[in-house]
Amino acid sequence: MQRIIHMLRGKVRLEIEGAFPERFLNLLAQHGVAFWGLEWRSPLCLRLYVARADAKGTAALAERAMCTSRVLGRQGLPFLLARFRRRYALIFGLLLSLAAVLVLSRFVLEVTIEGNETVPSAQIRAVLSELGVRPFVWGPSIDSGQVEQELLLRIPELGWFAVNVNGCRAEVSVREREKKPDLIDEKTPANVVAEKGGIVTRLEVLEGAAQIERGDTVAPGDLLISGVDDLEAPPAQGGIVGVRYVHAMGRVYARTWYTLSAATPLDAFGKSYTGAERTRRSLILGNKQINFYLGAGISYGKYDKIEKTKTLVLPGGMTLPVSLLETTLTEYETVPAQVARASAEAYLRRALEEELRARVGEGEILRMSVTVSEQDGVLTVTLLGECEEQIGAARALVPEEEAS
Amino acid sequence: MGEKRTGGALLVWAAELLDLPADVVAGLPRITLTGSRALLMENHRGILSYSDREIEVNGGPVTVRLEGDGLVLRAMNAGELLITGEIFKLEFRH
Repeated sequence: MQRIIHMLRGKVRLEIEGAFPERFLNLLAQHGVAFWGLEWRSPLCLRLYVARADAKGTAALAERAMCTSRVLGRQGLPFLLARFRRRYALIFGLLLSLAAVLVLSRFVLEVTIEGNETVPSAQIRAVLSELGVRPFVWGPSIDSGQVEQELLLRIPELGWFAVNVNGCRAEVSVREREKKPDLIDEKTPANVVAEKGGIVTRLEVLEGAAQIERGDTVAPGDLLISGVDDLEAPPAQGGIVGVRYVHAMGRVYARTWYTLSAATPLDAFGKSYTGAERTRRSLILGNKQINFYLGAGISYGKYDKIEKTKTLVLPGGMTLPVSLLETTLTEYETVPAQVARASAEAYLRRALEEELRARVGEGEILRMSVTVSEQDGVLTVTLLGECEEQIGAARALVPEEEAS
Repeated sequence: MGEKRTGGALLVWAAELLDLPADVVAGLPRITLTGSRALLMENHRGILSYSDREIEVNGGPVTVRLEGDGLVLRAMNAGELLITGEIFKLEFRH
C-alpha cells in the first residue's frame, strides 16, 4: 500500500555526500521531511528516497548540513504525466477519442424488440423507423412518450409499449392486447341451418325447436333447429297459444360425402444448370447499400437468385447495423422432363387429403378411397371421402318475416 | 542531598521525587526495545554517527550508542526514530 502511495505521489532518489551526512538526516527529521530506503554507501555518502513534494527543499537542507545533494532518479505517476505535457497531438487524440466514445455511444446502432407474439417484428420495426427509432439516430433525440403514443395508434393490436434507449441500443418492449372472446349473441333470434348436405347421425338441441330427426337427409340450407318456438298451452287446455323467438343453438352431426379430384400433366419442365454462376457482394450499412460490383444488368435468361446475409455481431451478442449481402446468380435452362407417375400420384393424394381435412371442420373422416386415371398424359386422382361432421350454423332470422 | 545538581539533573531528581514521568518533565529519551531486532526512540535530538555496525543517537542528557550488525535507520522524524537490525549492545554515555 505504501509503495502504491509513493508511486502515485512520485518519489526522488537522492545521493548525499559530505563530512557528516547524518546531520542531513537530522535536518530532514527536524523539518518533517519523510524519507525511506536509506542506504549508506560509505561513511561519507548515503542515498535515500524523498517524496516529490519534499524534494525541492532538500538541496537547501543539504547545503546547511554542508553536504552535496544529487538527484539520481525520479519515479512515479507525476513524472510520467509530466513527460506528456508537451505532446499536444497525443493529448488532442486522447480528448478526441474520449469525445468519440461519449458522443458516438449515444447513437442508436441496434433496435431490439421483445414481447410481441402475433404482431410481426418487421411491422413494428417499420413503424418505429417512420417515427424515428432506427439505427444511426441520435439517441437523446428520441421522444419516448411521443413514439409510444404514435405507435399504439398505428398498431392497434398492441396494448402497451415502451422504448428504452440504453447506450447504443434501443430496447423496445411491447405487450399485445388481449383479444376479445367471440361472444354468442343470444338475444338475436336465429335458426340453425345446414351448411352441408348429409344424413343426420346425431342431434344436440340446446335452444329452439328441432325440425329434423336422426336419419333424416338434409340439403345445404335446410332448417335444422328453428328459432321460432311454439308456446304450448297448459295440458288441460291443449293447443298452442303463441310463439317465442329464440336464438336457436345446438349441434347437428351428419354423415357427409366428398368427391375431390386433382390432375397434373406428366410432362413437365425441369431445371438444367448451365454452370454459369456469378456472385455479387454488397455491404449494407443501416438502410444504405454499397455494391462491390459494376453494372446491375444480368445477361442470363433464366436464373436462380440466392441471397445470403451475414450480420456483424459483437462477442457480447449485440447486433451491429452492418451486414454483408452475398447474392449468387445461377443460370439454368428449362428442359422437358418426365414426372414419375408414383411421385405425382403421391403428391396429388397428399394434397387432396389435406384439402379434405380442411373442409371437414368439426368432425372426422371415416373412410377414404382413391381412384387414379391417366388420359392424354394427364394424371387424375379422385378422392372419395366419407365423414361425420357438424353441419349446423346459426343464421339470424327476422321475426316479422318469419311470423308472416 | 548535598551534591550539586545541574539543571537537567535537577529536573530528573524532581521528577523521581514527585513520581512524574521523567521523559515528559526532564525531556529524557524513551527507548522501546523489541527483542534485539528493533529499537524505537522517542525524544531524540538527532543522529551523531551512523554505520551499519554502529549508530550514535543524541538523547539530550544522555547519548545512546548501539552496536550490532546490519543496522538500518528505518524511519525518522523530529521526535522519533526507528532502528532495525541485529542489536548486540546498547550503551549510555552521560
